[in-house]
Amino acid sequence: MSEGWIQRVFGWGRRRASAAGASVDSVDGVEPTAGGGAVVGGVGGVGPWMDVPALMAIHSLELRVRRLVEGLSRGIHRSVRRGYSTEFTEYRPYTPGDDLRHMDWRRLARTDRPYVRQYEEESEWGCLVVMDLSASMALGTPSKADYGRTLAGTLGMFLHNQGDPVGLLRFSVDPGDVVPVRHGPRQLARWWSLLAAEPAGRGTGLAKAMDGALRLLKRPGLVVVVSDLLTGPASWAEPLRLLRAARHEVVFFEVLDAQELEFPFGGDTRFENLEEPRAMDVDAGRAREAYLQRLAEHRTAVRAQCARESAPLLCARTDKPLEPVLRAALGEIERLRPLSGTRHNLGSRG
Amino acid sequence: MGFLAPWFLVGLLAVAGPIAAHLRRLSVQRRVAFSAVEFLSPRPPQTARSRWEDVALLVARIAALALFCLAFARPYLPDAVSGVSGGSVVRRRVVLLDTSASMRREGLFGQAVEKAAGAAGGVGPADELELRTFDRTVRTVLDAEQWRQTPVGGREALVRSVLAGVQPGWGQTRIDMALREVVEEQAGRGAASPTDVVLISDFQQGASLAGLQGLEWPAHVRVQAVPVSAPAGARVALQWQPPDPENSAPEAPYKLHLQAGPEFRGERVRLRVEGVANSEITVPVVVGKPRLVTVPSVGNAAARISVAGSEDFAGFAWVSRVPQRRALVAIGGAGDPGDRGGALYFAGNAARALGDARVDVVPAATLPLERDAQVALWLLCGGWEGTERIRASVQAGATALVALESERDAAALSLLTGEAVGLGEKALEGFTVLGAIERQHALFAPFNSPQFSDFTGIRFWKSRRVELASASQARVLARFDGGDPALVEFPVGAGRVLVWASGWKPADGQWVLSSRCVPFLAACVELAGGGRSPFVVAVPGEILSVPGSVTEMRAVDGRTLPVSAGRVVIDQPGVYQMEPTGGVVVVNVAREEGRVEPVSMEALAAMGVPGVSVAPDAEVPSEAGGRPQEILAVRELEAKQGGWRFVLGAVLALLMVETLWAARVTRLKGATV
Repeated sequence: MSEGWIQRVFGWGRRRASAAGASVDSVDGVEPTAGGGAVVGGVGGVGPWMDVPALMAIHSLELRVRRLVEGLSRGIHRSVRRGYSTEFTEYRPYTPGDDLRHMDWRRLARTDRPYVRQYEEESEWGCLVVMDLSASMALGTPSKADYGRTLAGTLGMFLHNQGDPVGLLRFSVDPGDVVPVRHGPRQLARWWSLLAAEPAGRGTGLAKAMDGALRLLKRPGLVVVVSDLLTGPASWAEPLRLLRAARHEVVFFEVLDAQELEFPFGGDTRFENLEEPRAMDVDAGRAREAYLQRLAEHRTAVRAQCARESAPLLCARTDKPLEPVLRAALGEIERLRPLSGTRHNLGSRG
Repeated sequence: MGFLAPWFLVGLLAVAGPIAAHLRRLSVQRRVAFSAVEFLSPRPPQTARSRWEDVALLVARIAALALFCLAFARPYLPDAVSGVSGGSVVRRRVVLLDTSASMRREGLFGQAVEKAAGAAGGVGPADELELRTFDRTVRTVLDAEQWRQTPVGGREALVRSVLAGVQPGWGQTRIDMALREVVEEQAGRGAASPTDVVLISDFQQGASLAGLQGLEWPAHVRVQAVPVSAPAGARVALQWQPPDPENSAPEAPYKLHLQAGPEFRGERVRLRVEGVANSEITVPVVVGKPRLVTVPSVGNAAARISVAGSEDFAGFAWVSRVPQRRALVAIGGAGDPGDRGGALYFAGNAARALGDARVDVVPAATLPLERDAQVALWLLCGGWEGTERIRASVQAGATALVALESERDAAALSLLTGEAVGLGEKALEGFTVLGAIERQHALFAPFNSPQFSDFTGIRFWKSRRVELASASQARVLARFDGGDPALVEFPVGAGRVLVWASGWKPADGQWVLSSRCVPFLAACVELAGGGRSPFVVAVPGEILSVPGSVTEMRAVDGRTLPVSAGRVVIDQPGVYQMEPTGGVVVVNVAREEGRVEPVSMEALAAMGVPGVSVAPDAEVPSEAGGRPQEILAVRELEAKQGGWRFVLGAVLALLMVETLWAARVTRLKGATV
């Protein structure tokens, strides 16, 4: 059902993840990257989109997120989320201990044999957003942290509004506060207070955060990682593999600033590391080429790691509008959402 | 070292650029908080080698920039020969201050003095100044030596004190003579320093400029004209027209030229004879048109006639009657006075043609010795006798006119003149005529008017060559067109001996038959104080030749002027009596001086005055105001040395070295990145 309306609204073809990885070939405003990820680009056919400075001028994260969610949902007739599944699948003989509420009394009257009705439930697909708020996310205007928390908040609200249970894990060096994956009226309020924290900490503990996500999600679900992914991919390769092994879908948002991507510096410059106390004197003009080359190599490695685990990677530049990357992300999420839920014997309904 | 365009040295400030860039390179320009520092490569540390290379590059760039500015500043080295030293030129400034009569106009001379002081104030400490005044003559009132010896601080006071003693005279404006004197003096200096002549004058139309024509101007002399002007006034100029001495009578009225200036308003002027009651007359005038008026004689020997109510320098004229006296002419020489082909015959007739009323002509041979003192002119025509007696008379003041009949007269002539005189026959092909003539001499005064001044129609068939000793006191008054002397004047005591280098008979030439002969004899008589008493009309400042017997000149107001060797200079208008022999000199302001309308500067330029420029009325040329001579000299020197070429070559070489070096350093550093 959900596939249908998303398909109608966004016009995207539903594709299963290929064996090479969960790559996005092309979406409006999002260009696929070589590693199967996507880079959020300029204005596509869906626009017009709110430009980043105007959006970030909205001080309240909640209002900002609501604004984005309204924009994303415009024209969509949202249905009430499923909740309990009521679709009948088959009968089975009654065994002692079954809930008598699922007893098919009419069949018992006709055949004089007790049967219980079995139903197929479309299960709840929990989503845990892993938000990087390490010190490196403080770079840029707007900062990567602002951009990322807006991204995370919008996704969370959107999924929450769809009825999905959503949770949040904030981390820097180590995993921090957590909003458990639930669905409830007060869930989002806890999100806003957790996302409001300023970036801090020396180092990015992405591997630890992914380990934490593995522990938090009891059932297969969705893990959305919002980070600059400047940590070496080898360090978080194992937690990612474990997440995937636990049948969790993982979507990465690579949030980068234009300064990181283009390195518009020149002259002798002292670069102070945001996450470490040491600084480095660099002849920026001469070092630019080598920097860009090393950054490209790193990002290639990251994309390769994601592709290996069939985890979509979406690149978000903080100077580009949020809507394209959100739409690309929602498309990926819907693509990854299980077609049918786990078969549960919820008993018969009278 | 000096610079032709020193303002380009301001470009040296550009060396701050490389220095700032170098210092900037040594320090971190800015600090940036960044996330992906691990992808950056640190800057290679500064080594001693790289530091040295940076400093060397910096020095090369600074040197290139500095030399570039130096080349544009056009450097040159001082050169003592050209007068350029250490960026400055020892300049010479000659201030010529007009002190002619026209400068007596109200307020004019005060302006001129201020301009002169201003011009002197603009002279640099190392430069030279000369201050001269001029009218008909040039007088140096402050010379360069005096200027140099005066401390710099006292020079202004010196100039002021000198100028305080200068007053305008009555002379005529001779700008040509003043400039010519400066030019000739500069030409005589050889390699002289640049000289600018500051000419301060009213530049009236009556100023004489003709003498500037054809003058060779040295290249280092420039003229700065500083005009002064007086407010236009209602001027009436008065000029006396002297009477004809030969036909004048004591009771004849005085004739005067009257001319009213453009600003005169009215139709009549009143003239009066000063000091004489009821002498005032009223005469009509037309503005701009000269008019001849007559004023009745008052019987005085001298009088001053002036325009009533006028204080103008040309608004009066001194007048006088022509004095009369008989003179004695003694004629001597070999031969028969009745011989119609002989010199004595023609000389006697010429002398008698002077007029019985004026002269008595007697043969010298029959003249009693006691009458020798009365002889004004000894007319000797060769082979004369009594040379000793004649010489004594001449020494007492008489004039002897010797017509050389042959070279045999050499001994007698030497005895008469008191110095060795050689004579020889001059072989003439055809005839000769008179060439150069000293027209300023009193002997030729009767011929000054144009209709009488042509002597070229008088031919001479025979002439004698007069050879003068090297130390001779003689003065050649006329020459034949071949250059040989024709008339020589020997001063002897109070008198003079005039030697005519040709015989006075028609076979020798046409002189004795010409219309010039008799007036010439009359002039000789007058020069000797005989015949008519000397009557000279002159202008102030003119050098006058008077009879040798005259010892002093006495003005009507009692002033006396000494006479030296028959010459006197009178610098004030008036009527002067020659003492003790009698004679009159009337001195009036020159007629040209009355033409006070300003002349255009183009007239000066047309006369070839180089670099003539007019200083604004309110400004006096100063050192900073413009030194064209200095600039020219420096330019010439700089162009000759061509130092900028070498400097520019050095710049190119430096830039080449710097480029190669910088490329090498960049390559090496690039390899370490």
